[in-house]
Amino acid sequence: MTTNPGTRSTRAAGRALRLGGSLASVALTIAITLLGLVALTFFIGRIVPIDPVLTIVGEKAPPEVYDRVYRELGLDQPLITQFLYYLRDIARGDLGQSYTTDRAVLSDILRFFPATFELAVLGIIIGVALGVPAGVIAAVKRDTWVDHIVRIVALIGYSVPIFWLALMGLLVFYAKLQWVGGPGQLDIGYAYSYTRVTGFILVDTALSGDWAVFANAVSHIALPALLIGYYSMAYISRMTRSVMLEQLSSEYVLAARIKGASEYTVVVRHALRNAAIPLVTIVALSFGGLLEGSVLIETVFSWPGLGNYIAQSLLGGDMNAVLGGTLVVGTIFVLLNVGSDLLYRLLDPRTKAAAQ
Amino acid sequence: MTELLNVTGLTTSFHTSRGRVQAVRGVDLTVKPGEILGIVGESGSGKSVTCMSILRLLKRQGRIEGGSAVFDGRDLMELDEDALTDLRGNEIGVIFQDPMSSLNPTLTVGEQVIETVLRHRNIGRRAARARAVELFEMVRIPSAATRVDAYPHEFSGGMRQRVMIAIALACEPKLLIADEPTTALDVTIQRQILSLIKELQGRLGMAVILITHDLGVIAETADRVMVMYGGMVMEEAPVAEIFALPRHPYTRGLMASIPDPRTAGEGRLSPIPGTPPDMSDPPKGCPFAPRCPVAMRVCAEEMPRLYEAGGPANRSRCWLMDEAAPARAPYNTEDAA
Repeated sequence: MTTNPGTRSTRAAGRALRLGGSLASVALTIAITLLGLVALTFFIGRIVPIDPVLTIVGEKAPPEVYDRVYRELGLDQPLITQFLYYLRDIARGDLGQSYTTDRAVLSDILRFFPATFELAVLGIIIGVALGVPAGVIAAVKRDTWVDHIVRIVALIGYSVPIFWLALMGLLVFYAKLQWVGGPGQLDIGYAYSYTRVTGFILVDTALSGDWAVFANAVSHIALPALLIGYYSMAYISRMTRSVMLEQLSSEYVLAARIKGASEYTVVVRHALRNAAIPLVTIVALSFGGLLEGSVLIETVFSWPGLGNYIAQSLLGGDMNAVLGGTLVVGTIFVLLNVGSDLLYRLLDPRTKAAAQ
Repeated sequence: MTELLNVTGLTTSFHTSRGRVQAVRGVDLTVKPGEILGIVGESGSGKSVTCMSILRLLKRQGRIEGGSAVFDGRDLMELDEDALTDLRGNEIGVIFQDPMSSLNPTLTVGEQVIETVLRHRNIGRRAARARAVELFEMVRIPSAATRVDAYPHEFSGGMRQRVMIAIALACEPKLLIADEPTTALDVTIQRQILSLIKELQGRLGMAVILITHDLGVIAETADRVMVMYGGMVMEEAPVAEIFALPRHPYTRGLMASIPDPRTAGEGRLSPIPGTPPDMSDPPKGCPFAPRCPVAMRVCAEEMPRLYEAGGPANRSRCWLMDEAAPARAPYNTEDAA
């Protein structure tokens, strides 16, 4: 077709306008969702029967001290004023002080988050690398022994409490076989032989150049990472199987077989390509779940992560830390959702035009 | 003339939770090179399953339980999977009813033609793409050279069916199976697609099996008709003869239930009363007997064979064709016409 330069530049302008428009709408979505999230954490903070003043001053403080702290915290102000102050503080990156660690909540979170992030990344890599192929094979070999094995393995991952698996794992692979390191990120002896740069234990110990420390870190992270990986593999393989079954019974898959396409082409090029679209969302959300920190895994393995931090804060009645943690986790979820939505649009040609 | 396809005794069942559903019960059919065979019947009569059985592409619960299908000298029921995939899309092309769901939404339409060509022809990508454009022009998709890069959702139903035809014809098959190719389309588009199929059939000299429930489509397109009911062939005849003199009560019923433009306004349409039989427990005798206006006692008790009726190419599965049957106009006497 002949296109004169005039229409081409008009088209380019149109595309730029659409891009700007869709970015603006994405930004607006994020903003509204986050505002809702902040409002939610704020009101949860007001509703819970934990008195923040008491947490600070203690049970035996005289009433005038109690009143002074009450006013200092701004609790005498109307709710809406309190909310506006809360918004202002969050915009400044101030999530308040943690009463238990006596540090800013944000710096606490930044300190604990990398440990969780590292576990979650390893977990999701294992989960996707094993779960997607397992789900695909189970769907293709539906109702054969291969399918049954995949489903039973997934069912166990689903239904056995993860803390029990963690304890059994420690008992067998650490206490008995001594294949892996115990709880914590490193053996005590190595604790001070590296410098914290990124907060990711594998990266930092590798940067230290001492391979013994790195190997020790690997031996410690292996078991919790595998368990989280197994847990996410159970979910991902199940979802992959059901999405693939749906695609494999669709008309265009039959059409592909009629073309004489090989089984590999039918499964990978046709069915999996379409299954990938919903799978992006499934993987993104399960990654979000892992980032929130598996409290149970982090507790059993004494892992200095976000889940552990939030759980400890909750037990100590440290609402600033709990709400700050919730806010961070919620924000990550929102961003992952938006990210998977954008990826979804790029993968699906029916919505691609809108994303470009 | 030797046959291109010779199916004998084809029997296919589906094993479902409700039991065994006998979808196809001993179908014989032949297709000569270059002819258009129309298969007509209500939904559930086994016409689509017959064709999918020939291609050995049944749904999971489907089992071919007997029969042979000799295509161009090879029995398709005996071929191994590799030989079958070499044949599908290459020597036999297929078009489906619903062009909306039979194209992969994540691949460009051109890509879906190209992959078929690359699968069966030893040529490069560039040549395959040129072939795709050529095919798009052949099925008259406007601005073929740019439309090959479009996605299925950017096409209308009629245009998608043209893409399906381009895919089916990509390797110039000897046989095209068109399973209700116009049912899902607008009436005006239906005509275009039918005449396109007919034109390309003439140009490429291929044979066509046209499955439909629409006798009008058959009248316009086919050379020979096979009427199916209850998983069996009920009647078979050259198209001109079946419209002039339908022998089987079921065929008559079908014809009475469609409007005839020549007699429009005179008299009412008379649909066939009753419903098709439950194929998980088919009747012992003729499957049409419970709905047949001229059924006799023997019809419910014993299955009639396919009688030769009126000519060497005409067959009819009805007890009225038996020499012991009473002469009953207008079913089995020539003066009926």
